[in-house]
Order: sequence, then structure tokens, then C-alpha cells
Amino acid sequence: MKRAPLKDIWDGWVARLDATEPAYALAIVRILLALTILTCLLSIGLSGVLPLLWHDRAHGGMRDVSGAWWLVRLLGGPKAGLVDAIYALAVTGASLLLLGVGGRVTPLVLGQLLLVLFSLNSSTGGGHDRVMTCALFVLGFSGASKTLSLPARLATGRWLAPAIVPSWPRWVLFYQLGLIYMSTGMQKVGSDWLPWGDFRAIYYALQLTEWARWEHTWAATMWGYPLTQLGTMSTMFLEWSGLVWVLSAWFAETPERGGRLRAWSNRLHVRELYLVLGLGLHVGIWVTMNVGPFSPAMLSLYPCAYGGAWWARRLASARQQP
Amino acid sequence: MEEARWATPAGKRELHQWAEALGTSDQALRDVVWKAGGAWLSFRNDLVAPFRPYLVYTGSRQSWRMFSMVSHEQGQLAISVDRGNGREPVFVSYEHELWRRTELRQERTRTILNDFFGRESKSVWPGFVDRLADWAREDFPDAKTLEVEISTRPTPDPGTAPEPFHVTWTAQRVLQ
Repeated sequence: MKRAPLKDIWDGWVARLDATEPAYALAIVRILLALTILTCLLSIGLSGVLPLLWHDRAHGGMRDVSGAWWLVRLLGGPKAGLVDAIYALAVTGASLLLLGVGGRVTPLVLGQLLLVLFSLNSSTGGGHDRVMTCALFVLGFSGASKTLSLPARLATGRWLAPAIVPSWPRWVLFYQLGLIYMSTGMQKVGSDWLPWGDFRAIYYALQLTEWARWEHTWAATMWGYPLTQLGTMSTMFLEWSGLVWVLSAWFAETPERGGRLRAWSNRLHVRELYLVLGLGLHVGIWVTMNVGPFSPAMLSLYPCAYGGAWWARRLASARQQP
Repeated sequence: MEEARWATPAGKRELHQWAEALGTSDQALRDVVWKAGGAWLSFRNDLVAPFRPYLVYTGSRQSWRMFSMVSHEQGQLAISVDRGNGREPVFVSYEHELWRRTELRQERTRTILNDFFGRESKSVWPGFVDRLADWAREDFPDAKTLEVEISTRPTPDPGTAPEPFHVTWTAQRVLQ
């Protein structure tokens, strides 16, 4: 008897959600994300701009901060002392996340603490803040602290403790990464990003004094300007086709399923090509511009391009090398 | 869709270029895009409405607007104090970044400067200048006044000389 197609789809979906893998990929994401959040928070605290950004005007801030977030309301409003306490808790939470202490609770609580801080002054945030809170929410369901963590080390005597976790959180995070790229590309409607604007977007972006790390006079030179045009083209390509990267990773992990497109993608190493392109984009931005934690937040999701089994093989071979 | 963002120099420039490419007037294109965009957003908002509490409370709402239209204007922050010998520049973007560079070049301070250079967040400007005045009182106890200027100029195209900056916002605070 022929099975109903809907039943097949449902069974496939259940099997996908049931799939497991070694926890290494998600653990590396956890570590990179924790380092990104820690750097972001410590930079605010150590540079002395915390009151300027997140206190109200009576306590050294540039504006009366918002008390609209539910947790702020619950705690009696955005008083300076409360903001400082939440900041300290968030730094502690990010440190615990780095060490993998607190299991699933740590990323979920840290996410809420960051949401409080980021809600205070909307003029000083950006989409990168949401990348961090989204990723924390997913990590809360991932078991990412089961390896490469202090509790795993104490329990097993090994940092690389073997642990199996569901693989769906990794796919959700990687899909989110591809989706962010694609939607960002679709929003780049400015003619400077397009052929009839001479692909000048990166040139103009580098001239913005508020974002550039230094004065980019090189970008106007005979050799520098074409480089900026190449940067514009490759940025648009990566962003518009961001979901192709996700598909190529899926193809690379399921070669047994066959098909021409899959074989072609795997033969050309499309997954690796996107990895190199993305690394180039973010390292380029990181070196030339300071646009906040944008690059580190996005890069912290890059380990999701490879499954836990791939990471297990790599880490094992790295340990065996003298 | 934000009315104010469409009214920025970058927004007007892009609208004009697209209108020219499509052979229509700026106003006609604006009307069509505004109507279509509004309808799409309204449909999308209705679709997302049941999930909104989940998105808000879990922090999983993802917004992004990364250089969708790159500004063709360069901005400059210039801060000076008067210690009885006339204006003394203490911070000028690129040219003279000496005073409180760590704070003024911090990644989240840059975000607010980006708004100021684009003539946005005007309501935050007085508070920002007040905080600079607080810092100046700590660092220059002998200074009488603090002056803060936001200036802009068109970004020079490759191979062309830059124009001088023109002051767009200015504010002064008495320090003692």
C-alpha cells in the first residue's frame, strides 16, 4: 500500500529533529559567543561609557533611558544602581557561559540580562545585539556545555569529553546566519551596491568617520578603489546567496542521498568557498572598520557549518599530532 | 519604513536615482513604493502578530539594516574648550583625537555619532553635550566654556579634493 506523502514528510521532520551528533560544534559556538559578549560588555565598562549609554540623564547618561522592558518594570524602573547590577550579572553570566557552567540555564538567563541592557537606549545598539540574544536563546536548548567546559572536565577528567546532543539547534543557528545574510542583501537597495552605482558602497562606507578605524585615503587610489569595488561585489554575492551556504552544508553532510546538485556542490566544495568568502568579508570589516560586535557575533556562528562528527574528527587528529 | 529616513539626503538621492532609472518622477515613485511597502508591512505585521510575544520575550526578534543606503556625507565631531586664551580644540575627528578618545571612539558611542552626522536623534544631542561638559569639568578645571560642533561635507569621489566641513549642529556649555 502506498504511504501518504504527508506522512513521509512528517516522519522525515521527526527524524531530523531526533538526529544527534557530538556536542563539539555547539560547544565551540558557545565559547566564541561568550568571548564576543564578554569583549562587548568589558569594552563598555572599561572605556567608562556605561553611564553615558545606559544611565538616565540624572546619573550621567545622555538621555532618559527606557524602562519599558518587562524585567526593568518588574524591578522598579531603570535606576542607575539596578543597571550597574544587571551589567555585573551579565559579565558574570558571560564568564559562566565561557566555562560552560550552569548548563542550559546560563544562556537563557544571560539572554534576558542582555535584553534588559540593550533595551535601555535604542540609539546605541544594532542588529548584532539581536544575533547574540537569538543565539543565546537557541543555545539554551542545545546542551552546548556538555563538552569543552569546566563541569565536563571535572566529571570526566577531559576537556574534550564525549557528549551527544541534538543536532537541530546547530541547524537553526546556521539557518539563522544564512537568513540574516540574505535579508541584509535584499535590503541593500542603495544604487551604490549595484552595477549602475559603480559598486561604490564599500568606498563610501570606508569614508564614514564614525565607523572607519582610521582615515582610508588608500581607498581613493588607483589600486585601492577597484579593491573596494571587488569588496562590494563579493559582499552582495555572499549576502544574496547566504542560504546557498546552508544548503551546501546540508549537501556535504548527506552525500549518501545522491543527486546531481548535491554531487556538484560537494565536488566544488561550495561549503568551503562560502567559508573563505565569509571569513574574508568579516576580517576585512574587522580590520578597517569598527561597527561593534557585528563581525565576531556572526563569526561565532560559523562553526555550525560543520557537524559535530566533523569537529570530533578534527579535534581528535589535532590531539594525536605531536 | 520610517518617514524621517526617507527624508535624509541619502534617502532622497536613492529615490531620485531609482526614479531616473525607471523613467518616472521622484514623487510618483515615492508614492508607489510607500503604498506597496505599507501594504506589505501591514500584511507581514498581521502574520507575525500571534508570535510577537514569543519574539519579544525570548529576544529572538532579528532586525538588520546594515548600510542599505550608504551615506555620501562625512561627519566630524569637533570639541573645544576655552581656558581664557580662545578656542582650544581638544577632539576633532581624525585630525586631533586627543581628549577622551577611548570614550568617543567606543563602538557604541560611534552609533550615536552616526545618528548625529545623519541629523538624527536630535533629542539626545543636548544630553550628549551635557555629559561632555561633565567630563571637561573633570579634565579641565580651569576651562570656562566647552563648545561642541557636528559638521558634515559631501564625501569626495576618488580623485577629487574634499570640500570644507560645514557646521550643522553646535552647542556650548558654561563650565564655571
